[in-house]
Amino acid sequence: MIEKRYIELMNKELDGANTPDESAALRSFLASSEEARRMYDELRGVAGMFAAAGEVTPPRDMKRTIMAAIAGREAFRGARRAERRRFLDVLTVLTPRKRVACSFAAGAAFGLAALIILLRAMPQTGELDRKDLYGTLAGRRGAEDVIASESVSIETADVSGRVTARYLDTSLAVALDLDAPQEIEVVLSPAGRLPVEGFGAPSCGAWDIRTDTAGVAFKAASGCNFTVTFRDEAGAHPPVNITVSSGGVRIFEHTIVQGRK
Amino acid sequence: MNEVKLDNKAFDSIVEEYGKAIFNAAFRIVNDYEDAMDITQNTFIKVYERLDRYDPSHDIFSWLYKIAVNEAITVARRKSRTVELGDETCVQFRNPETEYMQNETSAHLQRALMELSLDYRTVLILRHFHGLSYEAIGGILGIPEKTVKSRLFTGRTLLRNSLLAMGYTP
Repeated sequence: MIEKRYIELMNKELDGANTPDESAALRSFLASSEEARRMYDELRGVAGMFAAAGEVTPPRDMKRTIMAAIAGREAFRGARRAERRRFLDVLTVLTPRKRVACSFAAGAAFGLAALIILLRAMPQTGELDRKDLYGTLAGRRGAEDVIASESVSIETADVSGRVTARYLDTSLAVALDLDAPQEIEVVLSPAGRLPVEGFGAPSCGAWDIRTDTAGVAFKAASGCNFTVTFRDEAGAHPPVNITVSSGGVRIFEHTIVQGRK
Repeated sequence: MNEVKLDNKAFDSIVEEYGKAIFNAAFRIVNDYEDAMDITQNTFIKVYERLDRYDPSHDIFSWLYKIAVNEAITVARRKSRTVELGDETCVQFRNPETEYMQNETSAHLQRALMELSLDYRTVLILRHFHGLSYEAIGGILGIPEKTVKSRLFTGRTLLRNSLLAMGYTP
């Protein structure tokens, strides 16, 4: 059995990597071991085989084939580059002023598209959609359960529509869907002086809202959907008085009471 | 685009100078004439396309070898997964082996090389056919010099054993 370090010395000797001392140590060892001499000769024979094997002859037209492949590849890439350039050339043909106009038009189109996407992504509003209410407290109450819902219809010469009061766990939401040919003033007064918590006006162009401890009053220029919420922490669910006036003249008055028409 | 890239003449001379060596390295690793040709072609195409990334302070020869050897190893691994090598298919030639191999020794050596794993085969080929130093082989294969030595020494011994088992005394 030949020691590993001598096998390493044999290999290094074949690679010309031994120091003079290592070479001397190897020679001395080889002189003392026939097995080692045989192995070294065989390893040297293996190394010699590589030299004797020579080169494999590549195809005669290898260089031409490679250069043709590169040229073909380059032509293909050139065609693709040209295609891209042709597209961009449209801009270079335009005068600077037209280029600015094109850029502006493209920007405007992009902006419009983005706006449409944003608007479509927004939640659609509707009657009594409490998500539209202003104020964080009102938003929080959007998750509450509706305990009772009472409605009253208004049909007069000056105003028509419907008022709905929804009693929630800790709030009262009053929705008005009114249509009036002239400006009207609406006053909502819940009994027990509930504080106003929020307003929602998804389809109103103008309003003039005033609040006090007695309730809320607002003006609407024409047909309008309004939602007003009052805080009702105690869950008293009080009656709500509604008055509608036009030109200083009261044209409708009603009190909604939970459980009673 | 790089200035070198535009100079077809310069590239032509690179193919001329290193084409044969690259082809030989590829052939010895994959043992297939057609695959060796494909590897050589792909190597030069890759080099051509990446010339702008070439650092002239480095040896172009090592760079070429690195690409070629990696290509060849990929092909050899793919083939080893799909082809069971036997005595009949061990040396792949289009025609009698003497057409491409200079002599019988070359064919014996190739057959014995194919008995070795890719790690040992590649190191032996780079060292003995191409005369590369431990350091250069390590750079091409991305392994430490110590590993190169270890693979080379073991590979040589395994190759000797293979040849002896074939009845060929080196």
